[in-house]
Amino acid sequence: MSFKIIKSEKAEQKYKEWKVLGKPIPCVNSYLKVTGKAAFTDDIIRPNMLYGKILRSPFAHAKIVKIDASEAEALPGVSSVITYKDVETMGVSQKPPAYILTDRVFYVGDVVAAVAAEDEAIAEEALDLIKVEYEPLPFWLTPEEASSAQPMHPEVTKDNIVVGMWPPYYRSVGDIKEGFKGSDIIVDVEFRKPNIKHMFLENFTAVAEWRGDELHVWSHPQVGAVSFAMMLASIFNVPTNKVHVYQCFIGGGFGGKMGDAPLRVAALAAMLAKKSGRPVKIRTNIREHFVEGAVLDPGISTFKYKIGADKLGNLKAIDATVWAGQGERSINLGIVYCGDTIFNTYRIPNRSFKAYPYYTNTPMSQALRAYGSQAGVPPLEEAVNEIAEKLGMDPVDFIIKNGLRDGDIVTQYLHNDFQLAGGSLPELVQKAAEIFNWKEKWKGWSVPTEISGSKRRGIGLAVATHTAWGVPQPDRVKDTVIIKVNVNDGTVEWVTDGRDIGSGFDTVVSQVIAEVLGIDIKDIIHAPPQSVGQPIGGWTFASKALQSTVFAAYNAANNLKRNIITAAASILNVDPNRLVLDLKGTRIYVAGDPTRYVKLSKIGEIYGGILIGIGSCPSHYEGPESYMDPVTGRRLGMKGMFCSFAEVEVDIETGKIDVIKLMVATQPGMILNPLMVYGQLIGSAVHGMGCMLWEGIIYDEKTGTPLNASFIEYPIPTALDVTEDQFVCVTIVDPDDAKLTPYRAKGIAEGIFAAMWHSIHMAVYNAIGRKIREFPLRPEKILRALGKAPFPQTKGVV
Amino acid sequence: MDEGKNDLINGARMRMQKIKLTINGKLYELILGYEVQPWHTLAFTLREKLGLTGTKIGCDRGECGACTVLMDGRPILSCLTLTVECDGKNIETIEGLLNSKTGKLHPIQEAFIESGAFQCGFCTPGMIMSAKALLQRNPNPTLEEIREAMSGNLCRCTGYIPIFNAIMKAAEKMRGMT
Ligand code: FES
Ligand code: FES
Repeated sequence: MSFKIIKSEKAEQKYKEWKVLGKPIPCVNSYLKVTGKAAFTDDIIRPNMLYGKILRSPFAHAKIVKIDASEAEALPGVSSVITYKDVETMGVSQKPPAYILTDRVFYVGDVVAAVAAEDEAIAEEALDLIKVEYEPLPFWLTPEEASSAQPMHPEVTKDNIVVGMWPPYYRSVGDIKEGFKGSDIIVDVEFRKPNIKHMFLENFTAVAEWRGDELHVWSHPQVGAVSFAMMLASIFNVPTNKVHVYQCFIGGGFGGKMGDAPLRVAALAAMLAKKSGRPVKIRTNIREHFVEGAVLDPGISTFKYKIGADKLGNLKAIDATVWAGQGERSINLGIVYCGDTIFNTYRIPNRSFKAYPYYTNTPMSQALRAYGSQAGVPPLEEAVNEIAEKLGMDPVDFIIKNGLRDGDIVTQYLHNDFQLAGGSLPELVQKAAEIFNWKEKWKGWSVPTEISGSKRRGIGLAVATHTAWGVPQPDRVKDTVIIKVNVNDGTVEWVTDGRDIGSGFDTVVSQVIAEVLGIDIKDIIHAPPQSVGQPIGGWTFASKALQSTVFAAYNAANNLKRNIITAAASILNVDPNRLVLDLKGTRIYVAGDPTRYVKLSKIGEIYGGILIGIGSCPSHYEGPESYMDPVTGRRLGMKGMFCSFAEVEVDIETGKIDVIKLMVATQPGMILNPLMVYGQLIGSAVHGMGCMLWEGIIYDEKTGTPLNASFIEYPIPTALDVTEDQFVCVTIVDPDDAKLTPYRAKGIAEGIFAAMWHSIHMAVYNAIGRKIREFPLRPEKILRALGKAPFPQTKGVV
Repeated sequence: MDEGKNDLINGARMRMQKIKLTINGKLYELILGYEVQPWHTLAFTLREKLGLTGTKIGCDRGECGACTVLMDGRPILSCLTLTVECDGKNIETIEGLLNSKTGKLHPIQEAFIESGAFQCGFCTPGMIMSAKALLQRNPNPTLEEIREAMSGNLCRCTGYIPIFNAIMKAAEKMRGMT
């Protein structure tokens, strides 16, 4: 088994206390998923439904001078066509940056028009009949080009710097000048990254239907159904309670189904449905998913990091800048999270981070399994590695000396600073290095661990920290959970407006509720999320479920339990502490004397016939105010701690890299469900391996067209790329590493993804002795670095 | 008069070309030009015409394996197969895996659940059908054979290893049954 769980004594004790938590309970929707009965958006078929198709721009930037859809409209079987002209007549609101259809297109694949017809073939034929005259405009893909280009959105900014949701783009701590003055070694590192894609299997899809002035939408947003309904309500200028969003199962998201592309497809379907007077389904294809779907935030980027240390290897100062092409719009959370990585991975007293997010002619940027830290780690680790190499230090020792640890102050880029409550990189790396056998394998910087023929082996490691509190959100997305008990049989239902994207969110929340209420997980269901009648907050993103949703569920279940017990105590006239809640037996009885009981239905009557519990997360992101360190008086908070060790084999004749071993390790606090944790670790590791070795969009620099818009040309890992003994997942389990959540657990998948990229990168360097300061590490780059490639750099922007 | 018209319609129906598909043991006769068009893919017919939406469409161009079904026991990509090509064939989809008498899950389905072999679940029906084809022709596959057989089915969530474990486990369960 490639999953090691190393438990502390305290952890063992906790596991003994738990009945439902800590067990490898399969996903609560398992039956639906293995039988094909789980309804994804494309599985929704409405009576009299039409099929929609989207006309997309062949230009990376252009103005639509003329558009004539009359021939398309006249084609038999076509019901309606919409262009930007319909936006006004239909009263669709699209304040920037919410573009649905305008007279400008901002990237290849941007939406020009849409058609609804009796079937997809007719709709596609109609697209060809829409006559569009474009006036091509200058376009740019990279931040370097963007900085000197004309403003893309002059209505909001003159210098192409993205107006995102989360400025500022500059922060410093300490005094970097002094820090560099006190440094004995200073290194400068420049690093580049391409645009990378989520490549989930379910393409953007939506079904929309108007019933009078009510809009009904089936979709797969990663934001909650209520939030999605609010967005649609503002687009269509209708009351939010008239927008019914049914959040279907989500066929993979990884951040790429946050908001924009799903919202736009849903809005187009709703416009077509309105114009046609019939339900409309739009199912986009893989190419559309590729050209319209988000890319990782930060997008095409250049990182310049300067870092200094003293002779003993103590880091003194870092001055880091990131320039990124963020696409046609972005909320910019990823780029600022690169700053969080700089501030909170190593103890560096003097730090400065600047971000320059630019509008570029590519689709918007968004989270990809994590926000920013995965992109921010490789350049930081490259810089730190170079310091360690110059000092002749083993990287493990270097991290042990400099890594963030329990009690340190976490400087949050966007929020209040806090004192770290649990988790420590030095401790984690030390334990993981022993398991990996690092000391025996390590032969020094840029020295292969083994040579055989043209094959060179090397090892590497990397660390990362990541948010364990979600990300800051406006107040509207604080999590709320409502639990209902059926008084006739004691079964339980819970709601929040979020949908599991595969991380096991609904399973773990169900486990928490089952644990508090003392019931079997089989007696509890998560009601299908929809906007009307349900509370807000269950966004599934940013490693937040284990804190905010679990917290809300924990509070809801305890509130419910308290209400039931209090009422029963007054009826039975006993101390509430002596009562046992027996939901399965539909009664509450006196401990030690089960003949003295009250029926659940009686309690139900007291509460007006319904037994519900409501709970919300006390404070998003930072943890409850009440969590203060009694000694320092500082506010406490959590971060996830991650490391990854890699061993690779590089063939210096072909440039091919084989990952021989990849060991990821984390301190998750307590593991609430090992099946889910293992799934998340291994899934993240394999996904990340693909990103480091192969993935990356290649653009034709003359037209701005993505050239590898398919699973063949944008290769993601397949079954042939992984074997069981290649991957090891290690968890060091101790409740003190996640002190601030009810069951002492924190999210793990995103941070693993952040750490593992660079471990491969460092291992390749040690194998071949050449620094390649970009990724993916495709064979041609290896050969070029070795001076063996007679061919030039791939044409186009990578 | 009415009778004569009915005869005409019935006659026309008789002369109409039909596509006969046996899907999960049940015979479907679909009228060409009406219920099936020559350009309809099997995936489209299954999902949109017959309501068998368990088969998923991912890429819709033969790259991801999400649409895998079995035709005469062999795995095929239903997004690349025209319905008219399937005339007279035996098709198995994910809907046919449940034991129709007992309502019990197939051992492969059980093993997928026990091994945590899916997360979002979008690739799962296709994965399970590919696994079924493999275990039908090779009840005792090695890990290598499993990797080979599953190489046309993409999964972005699980990293495949839980899927390999599930197929190993399913093979064991199925061998135990015979
Ligand atoms: S949908 Fe058929 S192979 Fe992807
Ligand atoms: S489980 Fe999501 S793609 Fe396989």
